[in-house]
Amino acid sequence: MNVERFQYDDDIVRKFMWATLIWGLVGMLVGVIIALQLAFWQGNMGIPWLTFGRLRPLHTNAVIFAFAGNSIFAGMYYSTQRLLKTRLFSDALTRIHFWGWQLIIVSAAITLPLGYTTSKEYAELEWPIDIAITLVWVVMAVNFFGTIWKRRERHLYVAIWFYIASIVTVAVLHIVNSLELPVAFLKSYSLYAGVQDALVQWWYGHNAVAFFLTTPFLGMMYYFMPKVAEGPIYSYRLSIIHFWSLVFLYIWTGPHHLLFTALPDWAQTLGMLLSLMLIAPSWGGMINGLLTLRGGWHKLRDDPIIKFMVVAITFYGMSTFEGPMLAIKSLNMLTHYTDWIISHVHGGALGWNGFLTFGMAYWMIPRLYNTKLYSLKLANVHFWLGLLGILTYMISMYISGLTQGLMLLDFDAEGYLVYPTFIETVATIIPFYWLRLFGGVMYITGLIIMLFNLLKTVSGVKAPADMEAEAVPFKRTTLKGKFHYILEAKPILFTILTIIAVLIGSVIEIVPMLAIESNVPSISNVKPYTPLELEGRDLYIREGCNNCHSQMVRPLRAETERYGDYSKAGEFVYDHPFLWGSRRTGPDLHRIGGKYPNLWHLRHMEDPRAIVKESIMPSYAWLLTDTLDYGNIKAKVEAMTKLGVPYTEADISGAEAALKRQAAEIAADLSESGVQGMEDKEITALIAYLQRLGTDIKE
Amino acid sequence: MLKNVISQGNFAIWPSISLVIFTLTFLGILLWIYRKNAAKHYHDMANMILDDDCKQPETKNGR
Repeated sequence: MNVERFQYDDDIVRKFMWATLIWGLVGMLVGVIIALQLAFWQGNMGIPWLTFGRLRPLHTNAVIFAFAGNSIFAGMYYSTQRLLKTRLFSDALTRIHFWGWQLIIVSAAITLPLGYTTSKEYAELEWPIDIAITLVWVVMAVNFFGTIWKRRERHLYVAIWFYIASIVTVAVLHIVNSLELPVAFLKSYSLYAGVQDALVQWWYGHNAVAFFLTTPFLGMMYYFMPKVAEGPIYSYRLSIIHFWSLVFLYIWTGPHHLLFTALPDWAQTLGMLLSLMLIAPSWGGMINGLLTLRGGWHKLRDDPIIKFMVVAITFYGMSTFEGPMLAIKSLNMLTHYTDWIISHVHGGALGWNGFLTFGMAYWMIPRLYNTKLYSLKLANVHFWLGLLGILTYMISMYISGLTQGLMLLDFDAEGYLVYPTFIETVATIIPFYWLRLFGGVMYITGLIIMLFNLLKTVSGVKAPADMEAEAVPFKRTTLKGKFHYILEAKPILFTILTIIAVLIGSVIEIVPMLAIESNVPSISNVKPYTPLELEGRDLYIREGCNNCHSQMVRPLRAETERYGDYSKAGEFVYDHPFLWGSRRTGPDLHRIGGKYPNLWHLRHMEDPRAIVKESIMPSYAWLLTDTLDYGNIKAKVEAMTKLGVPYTEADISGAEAALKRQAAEIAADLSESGVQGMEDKEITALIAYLQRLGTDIKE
Repeated sequence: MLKNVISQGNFAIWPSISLVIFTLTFLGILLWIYRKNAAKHYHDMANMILDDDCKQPETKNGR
């Protein structure tokens, strides 16, 4: 028998594993900082790049793409080599992948706090970084599929299917959602507008959860859970059903982020129904993971790694039950825009992604260094601190979300809103923000203990040479058997079928939205933004206002009473990108235009507490002193024209003059109120934008 | 025509048929997956993972 000897590339797995833990610490630390700022608004110390609006995208990007991303690559590279019985395709590509990905993370850590953002959630990075992500992803994909090509194991194990689905789908999602027109080195506008942009964004956003935070982790679950449990997966048959139904159904569910919005009802209903159906495959996966431990549950008593894994899968099950429930319109009406959603996502992120990563790290690192874990006791302490941290975090956010949601919908016997001002609801939930902070600190303390434990584990230990292995190469003979038996040995066909499975839902939802005009009824009154409003909109994006304020009045009585007429699809046709938001830490702003005088906005941005005593909004005093940079205004108006916004040639050539004219008008108004010298300040542009919001169809 | 069939057909029996189809499919899948790793290929694939550095056979967990 011809046995070939080779070595696994374990050095790259070590690199990705340490990157996971270091970036995890950074990402979670930023999370703790912004959690503090919600409880204690002074937490940003008056520094623009430390404000919630700028740091929140950094937090989400760091935990998703840096922490979870590196964790995926570590787990994927470790398991793929062993499942395919081969070294990774190319050492050079592997290193380009590693360093390229770290460079992207560093770029994000620099640009996001500086306010360079597209505003689209989990896709905030600007176009040059988007291109870098695409290139690094392609490098990784070539390396991964190259490894499959040179494999010695003919059939692909289920973990590999999930990696394939993740790699191809994330590529599709990233490219389609990131289509944008650059106007400067770090500034671009989304190709899509308003409702269409919202649909594409949440098709991407929810499937970032699906194909970045779920499917690759399921792949790792299918590898590491049997390893840790020391037994085969419960039902390989179930894994087949799990895989195909999950990848087919998940892609449809994005519209459940847009229930009761201006998105056409058919798309909302489709999103809701498919989200409900998703319970079945998700729970199939959870059951398959948990039952892998059947007969070995006693190990939970002593083995912290199994504890981490089992709790991770349990959180996966809870999140994937809660998600579909939240996608039901009648519950979504209450929970959307509240902290309930924050609780839900952290159950998934901290419980599922975090704990699976920790379990994997505790399992892998001693093996990668050919040593033993320094302290099982510390690992147990980490487990309990982490678990209690998650529960504290989630329970406080459940109470907070439920409280605020109910208060916002409450009417008295006479039919008036019981809490007409938004701030009353915010003031009520502040204690829970402190509790959430406490939960977050517990969780990150656990991570620090883990880092100490693992550093002690490897201290004084020289990283061993790559592990030797041997395997018999498979002969390419004709396979006979059932369809899936053959399919598992045909990676190209498998990949094509996976792409088809994810494209069906994508095409059915997105193409009609882009192609059929009646989905976005036009409103003749709606006009493009003036140049100054456009600059103000860009400042709104730069400061991340959309992280706390929605621009979408839902057709619910409580909302129309509180904010004004509900938002219509036709009002957003010139919004590149859309700015509907997903969480209301502050009130909705879609009908804010004309509601207050210019001076109100100026004073409110300068010191929110001067206007609303209990406000937790940061002070944006620098907007009153910083000069507006309108050097790119002509390019911006031109770019908008290319995107279909009906500016005339005169609008483009006269953009700068028009901007100055409108700024002078606002400055004159402010001057009458006693505030001088605002014509060239950033605040003037922001006021122009805010005063325009929702006024096109206002009576 | 398709729209007519779906929305104007007014077949009162459709919900019942859907429920029966769903139940049969669900039960079929349940039975199929409950056979777990029966048949050589499924058994081999499920155990493939234990080949490289794990020394414990399937019986370890009491199966």
